[in-house]
Amino acid sequence: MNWGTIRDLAQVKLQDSGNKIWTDAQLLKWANESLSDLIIGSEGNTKYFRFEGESGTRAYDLPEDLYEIRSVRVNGRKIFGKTSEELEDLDRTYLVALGRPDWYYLDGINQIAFHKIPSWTDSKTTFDSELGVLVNVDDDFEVSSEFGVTTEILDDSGSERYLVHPLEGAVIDWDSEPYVIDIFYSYKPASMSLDTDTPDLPGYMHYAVLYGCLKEAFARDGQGQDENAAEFYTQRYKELEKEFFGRSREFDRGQDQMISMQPPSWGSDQDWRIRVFP
Amino acid sequence: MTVQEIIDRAKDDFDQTGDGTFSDTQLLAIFNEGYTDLCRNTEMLDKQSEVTMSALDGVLTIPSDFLHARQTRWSYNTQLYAKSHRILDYDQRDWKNEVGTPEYSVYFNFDQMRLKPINSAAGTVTFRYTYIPADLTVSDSPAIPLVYQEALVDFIVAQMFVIVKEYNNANAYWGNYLKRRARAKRQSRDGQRTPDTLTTQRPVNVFSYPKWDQGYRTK
Repeated sequence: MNWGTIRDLAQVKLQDSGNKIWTDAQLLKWANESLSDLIIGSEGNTKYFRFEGESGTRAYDLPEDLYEIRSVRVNGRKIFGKTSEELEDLDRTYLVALGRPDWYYLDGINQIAFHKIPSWTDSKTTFDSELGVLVNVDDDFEVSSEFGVTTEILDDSGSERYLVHPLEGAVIDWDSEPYVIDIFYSYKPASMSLDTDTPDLPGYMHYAVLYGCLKEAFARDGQGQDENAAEFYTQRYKELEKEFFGRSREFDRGQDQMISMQPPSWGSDQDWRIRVFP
Repeated sequence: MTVQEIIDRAKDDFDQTGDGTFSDTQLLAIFNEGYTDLCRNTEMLDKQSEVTMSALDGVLTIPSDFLHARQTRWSYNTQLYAKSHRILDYDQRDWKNEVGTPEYSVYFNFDQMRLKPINSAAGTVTFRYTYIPADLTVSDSPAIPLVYQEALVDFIVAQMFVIVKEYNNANAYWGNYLKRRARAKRQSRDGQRTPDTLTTQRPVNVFSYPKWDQGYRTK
């Protein structure tokens, strides 16, 4: 349903098709508030944001519609979050250390930062990292490093360097390309403004926007206030909110994997526990 | 019953003749609200749909009427099991780069699914899923069995009484609706309308003999 259809149905239920008590602008405001609250209540809307890092840049802007980060990946590999205090304990140079990111942290409310600061180079003679050891080799020789790794000379036009892991002794990847960073996050859908706008929710949840709008309208002080109706639509709203929360748990939308796992009544913690930890 | 017949029955229960307080257009909108609510809560309707994928696609948009997967298959013969991002992230930090024959379905947002591993070759994802039906017009008939259509009458009448603020009547009809909806939900689980031949088909989440026995005797 688009906003025009939702509003028309709301006006039927409010018995106020002439906007004598509630204006269209008020209904739209309450609908958008409900739409926004549903995301916080259900965390059902998720998406990816991909960007390339800049070598030497520590912090990056987060998407404006971000509500909560679910996971962060650098070149497809998940990295974990820490607070800046934890990183301070881990590495006192975390604000300047360069290399391949192992952790992310929030820098203020709207930026994500990395430790180590993403850094790469396509110049094999200038690459540096605390992670490993640079082994200088001369042209056309087979050499053994002090870590026991034998490397072939790949470039016969001059000397070349290899990054050797200090603990494992293995040659690890050479980072010569910009890091690709993927953020998976729950987001706040765009607000509706036109009659043709559709809530960014599955079709059956459009009714939750309707109920959210109605519960606010009936709860407002003044003419048209009706506690019974407000309570009725609050209960309808909560039922859908809980159900969407249950359905939005990624695991739950898949088919039941165990014979005894029958569809739960959505939103019950007990059912959820049975489902996940049978 | 057609939708018009359901609406007429609701008007009769509400004691409305002709257009009266509510027009048929308004009641049709309320009917579709109830139809969606009943099908959503009971998950009684299911169907099959296929999505063709090119090699290395990895992510697909699931059908817009999708509610809950009953079975998901890759190229007709491989069952895809559902896993969450969270579980995969902790088990295997590089899982999103893996390419091969898909084994798992990973849902995200309300309309997307990712294959793990990413499909190395073209193929078809076959969904068997419960769905939300499209809105109906007055000349259509609901896709649900006749025995559950009574619930839709209760839904409409309850809404009509709420709108005119007759809450005692509204509560009575709403209670009827919830009771019928709960019964339909119990009956519409996989295999529940067939005789109980397997122990797992007992109609409760957590097995309770008294409840099961009661349900069994009332059949």
